[in-house]
Amino acid sequence: MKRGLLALALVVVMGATSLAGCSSGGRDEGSGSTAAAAGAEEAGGSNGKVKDPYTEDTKIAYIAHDLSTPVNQAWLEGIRSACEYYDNITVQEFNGDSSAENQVQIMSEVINQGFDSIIIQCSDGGALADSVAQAEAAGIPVITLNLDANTVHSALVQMADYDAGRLVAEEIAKEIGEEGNIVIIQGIAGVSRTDNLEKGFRDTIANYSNIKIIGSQAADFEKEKATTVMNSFLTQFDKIDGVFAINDAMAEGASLAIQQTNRLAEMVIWGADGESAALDMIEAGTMTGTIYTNCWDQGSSAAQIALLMVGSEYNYSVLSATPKVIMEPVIVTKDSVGSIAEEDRW
Amino acid sequence: MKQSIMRKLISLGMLLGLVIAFAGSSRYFLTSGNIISIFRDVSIVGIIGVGLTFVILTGGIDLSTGSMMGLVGMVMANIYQYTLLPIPLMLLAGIAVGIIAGLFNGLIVTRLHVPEFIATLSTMGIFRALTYIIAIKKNGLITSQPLKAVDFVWLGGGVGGFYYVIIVFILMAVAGQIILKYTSFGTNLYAVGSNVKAAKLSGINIEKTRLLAYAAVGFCVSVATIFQTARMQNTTVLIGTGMEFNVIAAVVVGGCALSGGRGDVTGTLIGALFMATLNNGIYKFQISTSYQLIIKGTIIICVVIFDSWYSKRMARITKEQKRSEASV
Repeated sequence: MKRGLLALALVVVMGATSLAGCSSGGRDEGSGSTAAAAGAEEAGGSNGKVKDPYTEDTKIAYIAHDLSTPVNQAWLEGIRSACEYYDNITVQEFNGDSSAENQVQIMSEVINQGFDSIIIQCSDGGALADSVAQAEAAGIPVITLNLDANTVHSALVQMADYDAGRLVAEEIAKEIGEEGNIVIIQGIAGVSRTDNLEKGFRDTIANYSNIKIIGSQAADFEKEKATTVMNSFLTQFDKIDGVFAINDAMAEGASLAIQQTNRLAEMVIWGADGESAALDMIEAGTMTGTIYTNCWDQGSSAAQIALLMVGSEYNYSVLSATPKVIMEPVIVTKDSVGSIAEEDRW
Repeated sequence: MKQSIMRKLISLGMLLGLVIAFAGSSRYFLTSGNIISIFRDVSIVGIIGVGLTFVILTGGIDLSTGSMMGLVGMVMANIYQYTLLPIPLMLLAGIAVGIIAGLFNGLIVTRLHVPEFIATLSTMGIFRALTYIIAIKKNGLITSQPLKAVDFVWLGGGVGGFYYVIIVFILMAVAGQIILKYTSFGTNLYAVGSNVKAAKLSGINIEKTRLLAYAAVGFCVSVATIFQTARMQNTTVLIGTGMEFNVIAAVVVGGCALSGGRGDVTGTLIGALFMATLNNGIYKFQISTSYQLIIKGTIIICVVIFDSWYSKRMARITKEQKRSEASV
């Protein structure tokens, strides 16, 4: 009995420990990581240690949201191609396995290991904000790819996302005569690229009063899930005039589902990213279009910016907003797909 | 020497071997910053592992811990966003949700007699779906939810470089071990896992024991979620994805038998440290991610195979000892 009470008391103490020190009352939100802020203030306008990234040993970390996807592979190849001429530069890739928590751990790891620069595709901008701020405060420039961090950092190199959604909406509207029913196959909820693409699409479609978005469903960027989602739409709706999938993998999955029901001629199918598999499907006529971005160039640009930052005296604390490089979006349809050279297909 | 102590010493030996191997191959491994980082990473898995040890000792399993994290985090986020309730009440609500979710699992297993694997596989989906349903939306789209109150984010920090989550993990591990070894509830957990028929005949309330074990997991998950979200200053619908496998791996590598009746929190602590050290050290090799996964998977398989061989060998030795004592 006594031992039971002792154990119970210990458990209560454990629970109370997690509440200890919390004051009651309203919320007081700090301005960000205190460690990061302190580090930034100390560093001032210069990071104090400048190395020549083209002659001295330099390590770049690339932290992917999901390294298995063609986009991430193309970015990695682009980063490597920008650095391969220089033997002193090492590029090390890390896979976040689609988890913000994993990426937070990896960021801690690369900061501890003293990497010179970090290129990261943030799984979640809010969750990674503190880690990115800590890296910058430690003098490690952070360049984000596509998926931004909710804190000022050295640079963001992104595909057009809101604009890409807008362009797709305009193309679909043109192709279906500005009237009809559209379904959207969404990515992962809460991921900034998904949200911005969809927002751009919806905001533009809202300008066409005779076009209705009759269904939207997430397929988590996966081709197989998109096939299932599209099958569900096809059984649910007799008339679908347009399909917009947030990425090409899902557009491919949707196309497969539509082909199996012999309804390909009834609708237009659009994706986004510009994967080589999607370009092949556009050539074959089983997909209508996509928004292409040269991901090799995107990765290469990120790496060159990283090397520039490593070799300069600048410090991120002089910035009030993250500088952006926005890659050119290229509308690709059957008429223009031939203009994407083989060596530019990823 | 008792078999359980011998098994723990072997686990410690394997951990030490890992540490020596990584320390020898990278100058970044044995730095104070890296050691603290390993302990910080192990704490979240370890806190959940304390509760899961209780469940696995009964011969059960819980695959829903990751999804439970998502649900607890999102409930707290809703309270944070839509009410002015003070942070301590928000935390209590999170803990209550965790315990209720754990009890829900326990009730499905004990009252509806659904096998634990199926029950918690189902609730893995249910809890994640609930997380999506209550997720906070901006302009119609689900967004991650910042949790930046000063009263809250300090939990993600520490004092003198020693993070609060590490302190809480150690305290919970001590409490968990005391419960297992010195309370009747702990004895009941072992009894249910070793031989459920004998436990029933000796008057142990099997259903209540299992129910409380699942409630304990829920409590531990909610505490872990509080520290994880405090560290990230944020919660998302995806928080905790895959966590269940990390925790199960830590508990099993630490010597808990999935069939029940064997293991303790100390073993889980060692197992969690082993996994965290492995994850941390493997990054130091600067090799391709694919090969990292192969190396990690191979090491884990070797540990589990060794554990299986060791258990059978010890069981054989015990049988022979009993036979020779009986013949005397």
